[in-house]
Amino acid sequence: MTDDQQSDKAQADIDRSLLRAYHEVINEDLPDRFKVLLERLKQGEVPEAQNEDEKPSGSDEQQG
Amino acid sequence: MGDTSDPREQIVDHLGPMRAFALNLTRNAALADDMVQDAIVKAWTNIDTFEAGTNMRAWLFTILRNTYYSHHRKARREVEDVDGVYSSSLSQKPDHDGRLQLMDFQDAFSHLTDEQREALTLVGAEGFSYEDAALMCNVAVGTIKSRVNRGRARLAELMSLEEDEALEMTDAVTSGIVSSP
Repeated sequence: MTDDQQSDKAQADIDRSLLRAYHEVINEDLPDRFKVLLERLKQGEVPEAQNEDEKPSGSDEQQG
Repeated sequence: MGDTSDPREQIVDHLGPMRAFALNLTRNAALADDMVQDAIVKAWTNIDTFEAGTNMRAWLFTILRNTYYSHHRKARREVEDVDGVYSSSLSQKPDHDGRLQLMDFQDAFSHLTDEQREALTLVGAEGFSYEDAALMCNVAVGTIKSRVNRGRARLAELMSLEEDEALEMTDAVTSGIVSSP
């Protein structure tokens, strides 16, 4: 196997593992806390932040 | 005719990827879910800043990463899976094919920098373009490319050390990975 082939294989292995690990989490059932949270938000409640006491940030960064 | 539905109804469709992104950033399952919860609240209460027709996932990921880095700055310490919560979740299915290999990967992944994990997740796992990832991270496109390439090279190095077999990474191979797109 040439160096290029080894390089391609190594990169493919890494990308495959990256995708697999990522999708393993995506495919997990969502914790109930998120369903509860969304219901509360729909009813007009705004829960306090879990880790911050700050004003919301980042929401002004619009993506196209 | 434009879509008049409430964009907040779409948030639930992105929760899985948001959790995966948060976990890759924090390496701590409990903290990741807290970050996602905070990001949901911010997105919900600031939905007027979302421009209909644009990429909601990118918008949500931007909020999420800002939430994480804000928390990270406040904590002034590395946030790691110190309790092994995330790692243990992977070992709950020992019969799964390739489980050990995946755990090796997760272990190696945890040794990358925050920025490398973030760039690899956005580009390599989520499939954002370099340009979109750069916008989300507020850095130059070249910076994202560099982080992706260095992250891949570091992973290759770490995994070759762990496996103790095959894949002997020569300088040429490492250079090849670093120079690949």
